[in-house]
Amino acid sequence: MENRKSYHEANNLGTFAENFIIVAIVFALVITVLDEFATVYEFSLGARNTILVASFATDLLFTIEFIARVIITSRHGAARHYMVHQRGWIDLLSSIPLMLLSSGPEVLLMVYPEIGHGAGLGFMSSIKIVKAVRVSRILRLLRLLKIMGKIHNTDSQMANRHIAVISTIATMAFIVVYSFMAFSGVLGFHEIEKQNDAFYRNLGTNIETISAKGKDHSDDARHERAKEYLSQLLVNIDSRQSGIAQVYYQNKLLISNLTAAQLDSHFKYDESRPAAEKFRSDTHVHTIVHGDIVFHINTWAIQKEKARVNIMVFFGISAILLSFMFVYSRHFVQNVTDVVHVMQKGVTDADFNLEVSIRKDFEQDEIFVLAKSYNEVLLPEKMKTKASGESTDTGGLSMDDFLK
Amino acid sequence: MISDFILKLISNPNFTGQPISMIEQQISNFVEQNKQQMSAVIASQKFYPGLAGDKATEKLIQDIRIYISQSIIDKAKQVVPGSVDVSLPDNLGLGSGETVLAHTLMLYEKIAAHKEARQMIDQYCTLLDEHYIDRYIGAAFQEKGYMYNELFRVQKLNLDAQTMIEYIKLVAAVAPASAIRIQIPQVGPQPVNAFDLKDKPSGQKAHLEKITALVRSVAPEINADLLNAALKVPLAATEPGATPIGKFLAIVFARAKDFRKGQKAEKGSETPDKSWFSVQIKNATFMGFDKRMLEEFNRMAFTMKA
Repeated sequence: MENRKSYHEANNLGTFAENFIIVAIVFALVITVLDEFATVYEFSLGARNTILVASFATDLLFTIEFIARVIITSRHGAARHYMVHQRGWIDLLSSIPLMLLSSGPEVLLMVYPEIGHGAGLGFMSSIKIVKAVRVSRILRLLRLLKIMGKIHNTDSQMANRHIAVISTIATMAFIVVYSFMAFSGVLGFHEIEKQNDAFYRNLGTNIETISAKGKDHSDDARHERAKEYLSQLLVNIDSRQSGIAQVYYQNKLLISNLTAAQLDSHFKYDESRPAAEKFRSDTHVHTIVHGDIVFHINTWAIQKEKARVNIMVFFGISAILLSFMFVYSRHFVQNVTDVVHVMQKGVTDADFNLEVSIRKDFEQDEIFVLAKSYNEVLLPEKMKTKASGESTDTGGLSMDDFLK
Repeated sequence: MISDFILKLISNPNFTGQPISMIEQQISNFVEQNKQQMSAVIASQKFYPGLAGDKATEKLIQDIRIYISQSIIDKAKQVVPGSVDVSLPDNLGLGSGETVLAHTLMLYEKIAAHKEARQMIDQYCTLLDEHYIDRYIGAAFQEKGYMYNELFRVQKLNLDAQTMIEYIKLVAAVAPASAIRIQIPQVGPQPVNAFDLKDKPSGQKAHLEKITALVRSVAPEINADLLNAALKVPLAATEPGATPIGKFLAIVFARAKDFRKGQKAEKGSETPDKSWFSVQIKNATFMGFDKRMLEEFNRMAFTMKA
């Protein structure tokens, strides 16, 4: 017991820091949800960048918090206890991986867009890796567990620990299943992306074939034929339905479904770059290069669907945790810890003679079977002993009471 | 000042909510059990200059007894007149109400020197303060179950609920007389009270006669029937002489003894009264209580959430 107490004391960053972290966790959770809403409601690039910086700041803060806790607990030989029993592993999962896989690279691309291609962080353009990064965002939801660990809904240590364990199991199960589904493509987004990719490549082949037909083989003539074909193909088709942001043929713009204002406010678009790199590092635009043709596909629609799923997961986990915190914890306290508390007091306090209230619905539960013995055997014996020992009862007085 | 010292002892947090007569008992027990150490402590406090060792501790116990006896008498003088109906004795032909009340308080002054008697006076004050008789007799009349049947039919008390309540309060007022210790030659050389004479009919008869004489010499206005009813309280429920009122009062006096002012149900526990009655059902034989009456008390406490 003494040892455990020292573990708790060891893992303490001070009142100010602990309170600051609680505020930061709440802030981080708000930012996490806001990030998804930013996609669903097509926030401007500036707003999304602000959210990104805020996400990075919180990821960095929690990384520092985790390292600080590891250092201070190590000094008292309590690092293992922190990692295993004080949710250190949750602190780890919800800090360093997020900073390295999600907000860190994204902020880096925001500040230095040129490293999005080439040797440096070129891997970011790989769709699979970007997907992995997106899935890793779900780890931010582990912060719900962090804040649950800070809030003690009941006075009972046993209840708090029990609720923490089942909350962690439920949340982790949810996250693992969701991550598996996202990685394995069960959610269906990967299939749609593959179909889109194949469609645009076939479309590119068609454009090239059509543009090559005809007598005039000058670049301008080929360009005009390609443009006419594409215009006829997309007549009566809404720009959003087509999914095409822009199409270039031989570095010349064939078609654009985005206005200058839209390009400026919502996309990482640079007019001065070559056709294939105009939307470099913009995760909402997918670029397909097919011979001389460059398709910039607007992926907002699919990103929105992913964001909606993330929002659903966030609120799903929140609802589960809140249910545990307020509904199940109440049930646990009423049917376990309160019963234990009454019996403990009856055993340790000579003057306490209240019976445990046994609920008819649960009277077969082991704890209520024990409580029945307490009510029917221990308390009557205690009262009998008290009645026959009145001449010796000193009511807990001590010599100090006479000396003070 | 010794009275300040006693007051400080009584105010000890360990005694919070306890009846003052039980506090006295516990302090006395402690002093008795720790006589040697207490002598040195009392000497260091310089309360009793010139007294040393056992004499000093005996004097302390005596002072505590005097202090608490006076506190109980003062409490009774404050609580009893406002809680009993003085018109009842006149109506029932038990004498002048005012005089009966005055004589009862006079009796208390005389018998408060007896430990068990002053405990019962204290318990009687608790019963009145907490309206135990009003609440449970009222409920019994509503329920019309075993308790009502016992009082109404067995004891043949053809009274309405309110009169019954007041009558029982009057009987209870005199009940502390049963705790007076007197010598009964048939029983032995040691002074005994009615509680010591459970299941000893010959001793009971002699004790009753002596106590009746004693009470009437101090408080002649207390009616013999009333006194006779009150002296049945200590009898075990199974004894032939036990009466429904006596059985009822035996239970509520015992409840008052364990009563803790301000005690409430804890989370996950039953209420204090419900718990107490429920536990006493299991101890009914040991305590000499009427089990069926306790079961009814238990049900009523549950309904009242008391």
